[in-house]
Amino acid sequence: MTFTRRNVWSLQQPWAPELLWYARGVKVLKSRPFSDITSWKYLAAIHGIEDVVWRQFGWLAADEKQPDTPEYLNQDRNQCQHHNWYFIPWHRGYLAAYESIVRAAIQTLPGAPDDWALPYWNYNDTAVANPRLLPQAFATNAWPDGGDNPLFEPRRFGRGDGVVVIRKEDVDLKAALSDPDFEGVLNGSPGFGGVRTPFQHNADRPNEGLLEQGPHDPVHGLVGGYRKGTDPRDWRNLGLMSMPLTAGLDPIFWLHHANIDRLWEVWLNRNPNFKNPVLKSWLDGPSGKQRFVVPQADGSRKEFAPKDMLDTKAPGLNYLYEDISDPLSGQQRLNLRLLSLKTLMDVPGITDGLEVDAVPKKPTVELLGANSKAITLGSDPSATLVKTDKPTIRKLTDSFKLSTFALRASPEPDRVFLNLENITGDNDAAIFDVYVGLAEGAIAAEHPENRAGVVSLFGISESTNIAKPHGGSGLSKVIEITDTIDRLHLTGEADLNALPVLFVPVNDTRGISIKRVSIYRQST
Amino acid sequence: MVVSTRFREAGLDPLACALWSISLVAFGVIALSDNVHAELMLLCRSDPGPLFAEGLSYLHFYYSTLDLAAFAVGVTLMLVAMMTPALAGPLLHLWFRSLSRHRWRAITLFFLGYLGVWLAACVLLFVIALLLVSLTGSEPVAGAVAVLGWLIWQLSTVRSRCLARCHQRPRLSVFGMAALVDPLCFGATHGFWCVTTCWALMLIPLCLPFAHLPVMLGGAVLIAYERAGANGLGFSRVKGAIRRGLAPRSTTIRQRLAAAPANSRPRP
Repeated sequence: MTFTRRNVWSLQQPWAPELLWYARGVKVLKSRPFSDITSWKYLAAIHGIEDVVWRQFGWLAADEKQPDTPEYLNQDRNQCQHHNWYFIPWHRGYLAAYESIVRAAIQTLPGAPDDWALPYWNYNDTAVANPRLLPQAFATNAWPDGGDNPLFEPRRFGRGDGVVVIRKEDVDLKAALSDPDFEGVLNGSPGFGGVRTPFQHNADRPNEGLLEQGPHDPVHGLVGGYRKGTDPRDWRNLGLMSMPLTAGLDPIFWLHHANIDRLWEVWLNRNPNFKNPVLKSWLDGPSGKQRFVVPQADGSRKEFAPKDMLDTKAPGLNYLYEDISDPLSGQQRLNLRLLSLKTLMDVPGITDGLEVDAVPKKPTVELLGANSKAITLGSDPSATLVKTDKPTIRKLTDSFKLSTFALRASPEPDRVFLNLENITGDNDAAIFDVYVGLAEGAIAAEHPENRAGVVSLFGISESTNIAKPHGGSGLSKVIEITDTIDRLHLTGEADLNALPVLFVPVNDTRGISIKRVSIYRQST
Repeated sequence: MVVSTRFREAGLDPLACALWSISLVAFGVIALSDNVHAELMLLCRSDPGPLFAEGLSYLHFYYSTLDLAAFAVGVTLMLVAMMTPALAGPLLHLWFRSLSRHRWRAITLFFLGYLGVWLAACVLLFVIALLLVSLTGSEPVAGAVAVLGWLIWQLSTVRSRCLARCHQRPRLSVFGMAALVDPLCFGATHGFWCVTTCWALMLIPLCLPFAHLPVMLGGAVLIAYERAGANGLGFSRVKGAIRRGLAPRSTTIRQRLAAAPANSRPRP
């Protein structure tokens, strides 16, 4: 049987049968002991766990211990894949296992439906006024069955008081869905799915794909948030969703990830040329001892690889989404850029005969310049200046000559990427907007055209912690600023030899350090 | 199709293959022209005196007549053979985070810093090796002591901390004097943590000159594997098991929580 995952906003609010049964299923899982591999805690620990944190948050009682089986200690716990090209398929396998376990739990209850499927939280839904609000079934502790609502989580701070506020731009899909490549390149386009890596639980590299960068990361930070009036640099003040170590404990986590998983289908469905990697190293999963393993509803454990995650209707997954239509109405990155260049350069025939599948597979990525020293963010906007190397920046400006780029495999000038390297700090809920090319004294909010994107630092404390495998180097983020550079260069509005970059806090960013802010060109 | 793409599609990392090729060439040179490397091995190959005092006097004699150039070449060859495969991470960092016209300059400066630290460390390691052989009066016994020392060091927390620091990737400046200093400092710093992580392993072939090549090759494989992995070749699990076995059962979770710093999770 193929189950249909439905948009939470297409369900009757607040307590559609799908949500009520989900709550009942979660209640069953939460009642199981940690040692049960189908329990709430065991499933959440697969995503991430740290003993001290779970105890502090009350998820481990004083006399309670984590399971001591070799399977749990050496394989099952702390598996989640972030900042790498396994992020999407790993979470699909994890989510499918969770869904089947919840479904089996529901079916132990009287009157249960046999077709329950996990709903998804479509924060880009156009049919409701504000789809970025937390669905009401999750927002209050009251529920039809009485007692504590299993879907409500008191450690879900949102803007500080429990109210979740997500701006439209925090969940913008344009960057993720319009990139035609699943696999990204280091320092250049991160790709839809991320840069090639081995098994990587603790992030330390600039390998995050566009889908993970947004909407995945901002939703985590904006839902989890931190307790109002407290210091978010103290992890004890953070919400569950703010940290990979605790995110799986919040019932909304699964609806968020169902939507992320759906967006993979949306991306594939947008264009026949958007394809998953075909390399063995992706299809077979990471080499080495650490494999992807998830519990099954019958209490067994099952290993999986990305190649098992390609068809949602295949046995073992058995689901499809209610809606995988294209929210960008067919707009493609290259087309949009060339249309913009057509106006800026006043060249009418620039987009003639354009084929999206002409995107080359082996781009050249090259450093253009960087700021002069590390920068530490505060409560107010922080600025830095990226100086560029004259001989190298000339390659970029030369690429705008029509005679140069028209002959390329992908007929466009160089793309440009802002790199925020080795971001370290203790605040997983830190979020900031990045503006590029703003004149000194200009008010950022009045110049949305200079806004490069939003950065959410989900997972920063682990990647800053040198005790973690490969930890200590922090996170790195890559944001495409091609549109801004096109405009600044072609209109002569700003000097590309010295480009101002402004960081505007959305959530508290005190103590966040960025070791280097740099700019790279990606030539085709 | 580009060669690197062919390697990738065959499941091989082209950089790792290139670095291993350099390493094997260095091993080949060591094996074929021992007139260079033997300069180093002479130190331990000569009949070892059974007494510590003899060892010291021999050491004094050896260093007073040492051909420094041959020593430097020999040690550099040994380091290239053993350490090159473990340097993929730092080299990629230098390559991708430098201006394209400064990439080779940055890598050269890195190696200057890295080899400088290792050369200094090797002088000390040779002294230790010679003293070990002199004290024990036998190369195999000195080798056994070195292996024991390596095992103890391998399982120590201090070494884990040093290894963790081998994964640090510093900021690299792009312009001015800082663009020269940063790669040099990166090389020296990386060399320092590399020495502190691997000194005990490097001591073994120095104590066993009759088997130095296979021991060095094994060491190179181990270092590269460990450096690429996250958990130190499973030693962390061995350590964890030992610690669990030795941990005082009376320590409660609450006591451990109370002992934890107020605003931080455990860090080395």
